[in-house]
Amino acid sequence: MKIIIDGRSFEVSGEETVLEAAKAHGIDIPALCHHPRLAPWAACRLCVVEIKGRNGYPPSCNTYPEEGMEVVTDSEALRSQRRRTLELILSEHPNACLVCTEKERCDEHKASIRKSAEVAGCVFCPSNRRCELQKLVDRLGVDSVPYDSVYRGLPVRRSDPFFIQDYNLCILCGRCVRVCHEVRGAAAISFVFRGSQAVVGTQFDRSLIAAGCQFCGACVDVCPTGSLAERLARHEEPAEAKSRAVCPYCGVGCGLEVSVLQGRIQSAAPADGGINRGQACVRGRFTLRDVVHSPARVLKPMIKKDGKLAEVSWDEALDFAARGLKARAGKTGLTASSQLFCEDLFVLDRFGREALGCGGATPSAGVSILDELSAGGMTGRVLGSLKSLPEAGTIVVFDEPVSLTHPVAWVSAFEAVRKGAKLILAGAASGPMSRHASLCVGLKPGGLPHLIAAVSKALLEKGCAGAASVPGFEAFKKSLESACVSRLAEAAGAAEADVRGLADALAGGGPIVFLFGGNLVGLPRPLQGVALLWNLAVQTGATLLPLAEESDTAGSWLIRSRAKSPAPSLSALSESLGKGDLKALYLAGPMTLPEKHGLEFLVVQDSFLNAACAWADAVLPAAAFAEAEGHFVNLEGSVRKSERAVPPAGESKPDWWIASELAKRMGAPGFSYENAGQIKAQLDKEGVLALPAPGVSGAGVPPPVGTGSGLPAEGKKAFVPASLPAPCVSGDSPEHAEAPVSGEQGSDHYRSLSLCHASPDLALLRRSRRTGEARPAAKTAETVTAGGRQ
Amino acid sequence: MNKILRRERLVPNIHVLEVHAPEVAAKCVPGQFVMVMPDEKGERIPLTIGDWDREKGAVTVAFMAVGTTTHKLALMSAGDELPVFVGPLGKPSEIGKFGTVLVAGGCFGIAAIHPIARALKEAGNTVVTLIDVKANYLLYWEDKLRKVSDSFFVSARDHKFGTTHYVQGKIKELLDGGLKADRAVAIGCTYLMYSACEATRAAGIKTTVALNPIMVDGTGMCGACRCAVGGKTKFACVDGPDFDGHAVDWTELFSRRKSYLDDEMKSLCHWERSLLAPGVSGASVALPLSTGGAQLAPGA
Repeated sequence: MKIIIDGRSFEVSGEETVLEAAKAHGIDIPALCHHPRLAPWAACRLCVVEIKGRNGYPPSCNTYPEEGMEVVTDSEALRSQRRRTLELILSEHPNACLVCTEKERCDEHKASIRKSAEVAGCVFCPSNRRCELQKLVDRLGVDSVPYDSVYRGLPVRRSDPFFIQDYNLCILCGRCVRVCHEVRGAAAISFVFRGSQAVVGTQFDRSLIAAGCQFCGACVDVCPTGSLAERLARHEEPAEAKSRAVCPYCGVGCGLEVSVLQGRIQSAAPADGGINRGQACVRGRFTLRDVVHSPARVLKPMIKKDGKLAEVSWDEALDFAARGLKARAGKTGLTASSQLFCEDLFVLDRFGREALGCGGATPSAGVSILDELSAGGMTGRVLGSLKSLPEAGTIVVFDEPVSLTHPVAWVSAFEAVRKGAKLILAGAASGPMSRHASLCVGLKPGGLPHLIAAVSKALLEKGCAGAASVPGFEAFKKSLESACVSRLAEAAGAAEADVRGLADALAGGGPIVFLFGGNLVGLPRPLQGVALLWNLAVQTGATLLPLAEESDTAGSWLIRSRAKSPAPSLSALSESLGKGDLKALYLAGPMTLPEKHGLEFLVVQDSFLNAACAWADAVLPAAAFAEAEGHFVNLEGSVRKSERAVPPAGESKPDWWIASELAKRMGAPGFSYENAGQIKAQLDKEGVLALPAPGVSGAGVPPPVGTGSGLPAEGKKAFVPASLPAPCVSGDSPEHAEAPVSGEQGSDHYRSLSLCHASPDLALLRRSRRTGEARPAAKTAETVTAGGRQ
Repeated sequence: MNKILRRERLVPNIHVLEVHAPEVAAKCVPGQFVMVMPDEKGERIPLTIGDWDREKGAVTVAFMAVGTTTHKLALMSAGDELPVFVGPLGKPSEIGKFGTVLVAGGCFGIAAIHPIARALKEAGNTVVTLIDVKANYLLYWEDKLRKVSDSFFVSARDHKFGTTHYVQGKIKELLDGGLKADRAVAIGCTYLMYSACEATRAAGIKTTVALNPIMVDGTGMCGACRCAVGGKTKFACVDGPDFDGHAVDWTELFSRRKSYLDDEMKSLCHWERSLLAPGVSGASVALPLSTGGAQLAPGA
């Protein structure tokens, strides 16, 4: 339809509001409560417009266009109305600095006042010069507030990790509350009290940590004032530079905007658009600074001298390491972290094959889902993407606490739930997941394969056709002939009714997506579980979305798969080490090495000092991800470029540089790389990252956004042989791997550094979730503003 | 150890501390300060004496919670003890019969000017007090100051006071309005003192300011509080804290006050984190760190 905005005629869809339509055509209407990812709210009344034929000034953020509508977004009457509204908003917001004639000189001379306990003006405020409200005051030309200033006198809340909440600055735009409810599904915060007492708070006025907040930081990112301020950055000047990095922790590969001040990371915020669309999680949002600038960083190359590690020059360290490794070529193992860039992994893999003679780089995290899919011959375009996840009609999560391990994937899943999708949880869940689930199926540890088989059998019993023409169906059917739904359900620890309920939901149609991750691959027979799940997906037409644990799991798989002979697996490497076949080990990935196991020579290439350094003959300092540029391949096969944000710490060097320097010194040809760009060019030339990963729908290119069903489910697919899980004696639990004792999540590390070690705030969060304790009852700085403990 | 008799938050950021310190209370005079440590491991900070009660043996200081040490002080309460409360230090303010004296204060300086205004009043001067606050909710000790003032003004950026002037604008307005001041005293943040001096300079009114550089020992030993006055290096602790504001090198003072800003921020964050998660230390380089990697289990 056509509408006229400020005298110009525009074609609009009618699905976007007048405010969004105007913005799309370059007309920016001032607003404070509007946010593109949130439902219209119309609270701030700043986006008012004039519409011909309508009385008053309707807010453009919740007015939808009508054919021929004539809108005026700027007039003296509107400007006056907006100024009056803003003055009212400011009457309860510390506004002295906004109207002070001295503000510029004051900013310059009062830098230290930002450390104050309470904010009594912009010069005190963590958001000074980056505040939306401040910018709007300038834009609307408000230079006085005709009301007596009111300070609400609420205690500044400092007893939560990561960020501080000062609701004396809050203008009640509701963005934080809405993003928590509408986007994250967490509902940790809400409005409490009414009228002039209304304030953002938690149930029973508990701390955020006790209220179940996951500290994703979404509220901090949407706050237009300084009410919510990141603890580590809040006193500092605005950033001097920003660069786009990719989060190095989990397989989602969120884009992050890294703020840099004086050559150091100040903070990181989720980038708009892209895969994560303005969302991040507690790890990516709040731990980067602590990790990259950790005191545990290795800053200089070290080699063992007189039984102790001593700092030496790069030349000396490289010569020493090259000699030691060359002398043991063919009897050396090499491991690499799947949190390294593709460029690093490619050079390390080549270094392993061509210089060390070890057959390539072994992923230090062990087998990945992609390895299992590939090993089981499960190929075809059956894997989904994060982009198409919100279009799903049914989402089944197989024993994975997605909102904890891959919080941004949960955001996409929750978007589908908001649109009416059924969420079914089998086994582990976390935070907000169970609240939004339509069915939660219980699960014993290790019971997942039984559950999957039970669901397949229940579906066959229902006589669900549709998959009968798929190759391998008969064999699949035969394999389940002897199975009994109730016995399998019992072995899985699930109620039979729930199993049948899950089968009914899967038979109900609608695009189905299966989410699964480390808990399935971590089973004693991962291949069996993955094959059973694959078959269930083929049977129901579901799309699989495996949640890779590390940022470059897919990249690592692609790089290793380019060679005919794959690199040894972690278990094979472990076995060789145990047998004493290995004389040297090169660790470019985190490894717990309790003893030296007869190794003659150990080289550690890492960004952080770690336990293995205790045995190391050489320690080579590697640059952290934000200190180098490179690419990750995320869980859906997208190649994601990460920019360098800060210079490498100390004398650390990119991983590819270290490996190629060593390779050169060991006489291997073809390692004269000068920058990461040359390596990427080679990867592109050889088509390494463009190879389709098993099941991945065209890695390297954006996955197709569904055809018909909304999800890609075309191409080659077939049932694969899958054995039934061993029957269990009634009452017994199926065999399962021991749960990790640390309580940390799979991606709670970067290389060898535990994120909880780097960030005491994260340690507090994880500890409180693990033990159920809200937080230690300690005297906190909160009482500085509450008048102190009495 | 000196026992705290009262600790109260007067207005946002400003706290008052009444401490039992009979030796200090017996000797202190207007313009002097004490050095305070909230705990035995922290830094020493100077706080200007705002009032005293010689009979009770009590000394009152006001401070702004703006760094780690003042945040720590703001957490203390009656009955707690201060390991260090040393004073009175610094030279007394010059008190004489000058005629009309303009006394300007802001922030923590509102308390600091109180004994000076009182002494000036007792000495027979006409005391014109000007308080600068950003907003009405930051004004404190109005009653105490009115008692020792012949006239009382407020400069603020608040509709309640009908003015948007900063301190120098109000001084100019008063002078333009016919105020004949023979002397001026200004105490508050560096910027307030600087601005007040700028306002009185043209009229040639001698203006005393109490400088607030970073100070460590307060007795002239360390030299951290050096500042340039009239082209000569002075130590604020023993040569001051009062100086002729028109002779102070303000550029240098502003710069020196920011010398440790980065470290001050780090310290505050570190301290807040330590309160947040007692027992959860920050990263340390001590081996071994926990790792996220799989364990190599040879021969398994």
